Amino acid sequence: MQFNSVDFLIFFPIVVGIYFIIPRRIKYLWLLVASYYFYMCWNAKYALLIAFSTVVTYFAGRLLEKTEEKKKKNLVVAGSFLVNLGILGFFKYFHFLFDNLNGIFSIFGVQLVEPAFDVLLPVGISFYTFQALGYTIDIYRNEIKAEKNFFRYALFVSFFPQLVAGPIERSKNLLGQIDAMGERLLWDYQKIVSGFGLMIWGMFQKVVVADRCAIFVDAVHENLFAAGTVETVAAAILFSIQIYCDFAGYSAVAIGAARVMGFSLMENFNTPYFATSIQDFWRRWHISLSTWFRDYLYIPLGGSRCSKAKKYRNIMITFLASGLWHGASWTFVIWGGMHGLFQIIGDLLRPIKEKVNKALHVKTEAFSYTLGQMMITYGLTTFAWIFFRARTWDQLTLYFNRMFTKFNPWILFGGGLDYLQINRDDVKIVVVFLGILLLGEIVRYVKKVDLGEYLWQQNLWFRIGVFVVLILIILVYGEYGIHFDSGKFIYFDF
Amino acid sequence: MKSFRKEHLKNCIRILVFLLLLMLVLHRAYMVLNWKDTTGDYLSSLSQLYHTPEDTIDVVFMGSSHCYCGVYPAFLWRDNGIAAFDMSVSGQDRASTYHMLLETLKTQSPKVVMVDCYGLLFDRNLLEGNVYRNMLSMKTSKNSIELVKEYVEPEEQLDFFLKWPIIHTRFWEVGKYDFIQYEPSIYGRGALFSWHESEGEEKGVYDVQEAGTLTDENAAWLDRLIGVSKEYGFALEFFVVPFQITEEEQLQVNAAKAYLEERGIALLDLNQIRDELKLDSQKDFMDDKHCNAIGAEKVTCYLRDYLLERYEFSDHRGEEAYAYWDQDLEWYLHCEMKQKISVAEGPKEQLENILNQKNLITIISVEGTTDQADFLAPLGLSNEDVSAGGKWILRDDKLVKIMENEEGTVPYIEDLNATDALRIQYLGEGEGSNVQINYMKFVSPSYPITIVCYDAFLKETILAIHL
Repeated sequence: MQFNSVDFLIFFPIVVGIYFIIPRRIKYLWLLVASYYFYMCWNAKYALLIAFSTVVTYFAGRLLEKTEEKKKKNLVVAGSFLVNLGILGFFKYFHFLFDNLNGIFSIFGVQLVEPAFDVLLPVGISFYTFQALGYTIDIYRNEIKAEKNFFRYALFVSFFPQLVAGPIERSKNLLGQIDAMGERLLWDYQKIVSGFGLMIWGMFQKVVVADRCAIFVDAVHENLFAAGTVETVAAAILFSIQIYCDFAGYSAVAIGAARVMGFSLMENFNTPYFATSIQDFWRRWHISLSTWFRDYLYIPLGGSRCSKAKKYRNIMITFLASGLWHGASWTFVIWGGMHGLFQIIGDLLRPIKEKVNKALHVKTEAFSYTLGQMMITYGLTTFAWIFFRARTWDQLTLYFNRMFTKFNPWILFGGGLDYLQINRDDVKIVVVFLGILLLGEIVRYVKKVDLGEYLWQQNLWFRIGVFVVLILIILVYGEYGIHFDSGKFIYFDF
Repeated sequence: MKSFRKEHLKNCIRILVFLLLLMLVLHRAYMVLNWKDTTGDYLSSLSQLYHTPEDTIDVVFMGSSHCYCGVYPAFLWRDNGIAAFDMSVSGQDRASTYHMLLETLKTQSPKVVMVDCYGLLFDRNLLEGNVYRNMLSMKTSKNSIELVKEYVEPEEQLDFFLKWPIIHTRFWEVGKYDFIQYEPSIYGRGALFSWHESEGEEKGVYDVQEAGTLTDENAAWLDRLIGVSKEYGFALEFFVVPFQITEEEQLQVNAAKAYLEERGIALLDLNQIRDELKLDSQKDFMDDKHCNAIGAEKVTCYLRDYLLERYEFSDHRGEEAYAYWDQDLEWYLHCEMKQKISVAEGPKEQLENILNQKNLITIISVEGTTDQADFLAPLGLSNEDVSAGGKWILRDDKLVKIMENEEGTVPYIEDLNATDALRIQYLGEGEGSNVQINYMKFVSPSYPITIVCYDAFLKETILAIHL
């Protein structure tokens, strides 16, 4: 079930309510049952996959702890990786691989037989697989002890708030909290309130901002043949907001939901569009994934503690892998590669930039300098998002073609955008909500706490007022349900 | 421990206060956004039914827009004090008819229920607006849930049960009647008044005598309604409101007629007696499927005579519990007056329509010289009055002078109702805002005489004359 669904609105209070009532020693079991129920609402059959992954990594962890021999340890880790990445690879990349192989073979006049079945991607598989593999590596590195209680470990893998879209948790953090459930205070009013506040903020980002931006973005992509510079640039900007609010919103709900139950999940987004460099961007965007790749791929490859050439190689491998993780398409890979390239270029140009700043007496400590850096970084990431959004090569090439060959500023006036069938009032509403979003981001950036925490620090009436207004905005202006359209009231046909 | 409990109690109170405030705000938002008839465009009759005092309706007419366009309870009330009601909704199909009937029977015990047979002729209403009309007006109950289950696709049913996922998008079209009550959705008796005339050709086929094969769904529907009539003890009759029927449709109607006759139930096919009704397919209809007010009067009067031949009804005129029928008739009369004004040939004829009418506020402004003083005589103004100029209000046959045409006079302001306000002032000759209702300015610099008639019943300006 989705977070923004009636089912979740019923599910969550029931789960939390029972969670707080039942004895401590069985709370984790209740959460495990709820997590599997949550997952099975998407597709009951795929619960077997997550269960299988759990069993494999659980026993791999137990085996790793018992084994002293490095060679055997390596085998266990390799086996765990093979099995889990094999499952992930099959479900996520089967069609991608098949299409690419077909493409290669067709050069030689050979046509591969189209498989009769369609492989559906199990929800959350990319997330829980990485989470489980991270556990395996942590044990291999002796950073943690293997979890002996299978059900506690199963809860770690399947914990419903973060199961389908992260954050990808570390065993040290989440598993440690699950183990300590019997000892620490779980009913914490502050956490309940700040967690609830964060959930509301996340819903606002997702249901109100992201889904409304999507209307315009989708309209432009569906009508690219008629679009010009204005629409394509606007769509790129709105997509950058859409994808951020979609993802960050979901993360906020996940983190907030976990916090309500007394769990502390890792931060996943920290005002990424206020980043001052691409490197900084990746310290703020999808933090759980970027740190996972850093700790389990980049650093093992050598990280930055090697020659520059190797460092850049490591960056490219990491970001290409990250791109591929996001989706089974070359556009995702290119998107990842672009981010790697931006970082390499940024690194290469740093000495030149410093010399130029010095020569021109640029005040690098001034706000205007920081703002300039933010804008450049935002521009680069937004440009890269174009590759992320385009599903095919053809669409990508058409998009850039339209952006650079059809300059049409008149479209902003006199109903020029009407061909996209976008309600003008919709545009005004989006602007207002973007303003609210910006305010929230500024608060986050300046105060360095999430919105839930920030609201907790305020007076009761202010907090209640903000909660009520945000909930009202979500319920009234959210993109969900059936669109009531008074234009459909055609008279007298029946 | 004590302080922990105290803190715990405080927290619980805070949560309760928040929940209470949230519920209040959401309830208010729901009342605003809730689907309702705000201008007559969303007509579904259920709101009117819910406001009707229990056990007052004598005759219920059920059906689609054919029914509420073709049968005016106002005529039955006007002529014989029969309390009739159109429980009809645009696109009311078989399932909707059945459940709307059950809903009616929760509070009413009609003697007769007449069901329009157009429901036999279509399977599922696909028009989105009609789905809303049929699904969103009923109060949530077992009956409404069963209707949604029968009418709506499974994946959309939850949205209709909860209503909020649909109606929350109404924020785009929220208007004044989402905040204040649109009164016709209380006192109306289900009919829609229109005098629009058809411009299309006559294409109906009315001479088909053979009967086709009654479909299983139609037979089941007829049986279902017969079952309800037996359970609740009312007389069930079927009829066909006149419309341009096709041959195929007529075959099905004939089949239904034969089926019902076997069960001792009448089907009055008014399409077969169009000549007797003297129906003109252009003057009496607004299109190929719906009667206008002229046609409705013919149809309703025929139904009145038909019902009076077969049943006895009490004359409820004058009874307190039947006030809505009086108001519905008055509403019709005001709409008729407005219609007559719109088609009148010239100001004199327009003026004649408003004389001696109740619930009208007529504002007369004379600025400058005019030779049309005689025109204003029927309103009660003498030649001397006209020569002097000024501003008057005629209300309930009483003419009152509001002000002279003198600059600096304190403006006259009156709240006509909760939404409309009148201002009369003098800012100079021909100044538009000298007579203003809300943001509409009526005085013209080119014409010395301005007559504005505001219908306090319809809550709108129905006439503006410049001479």
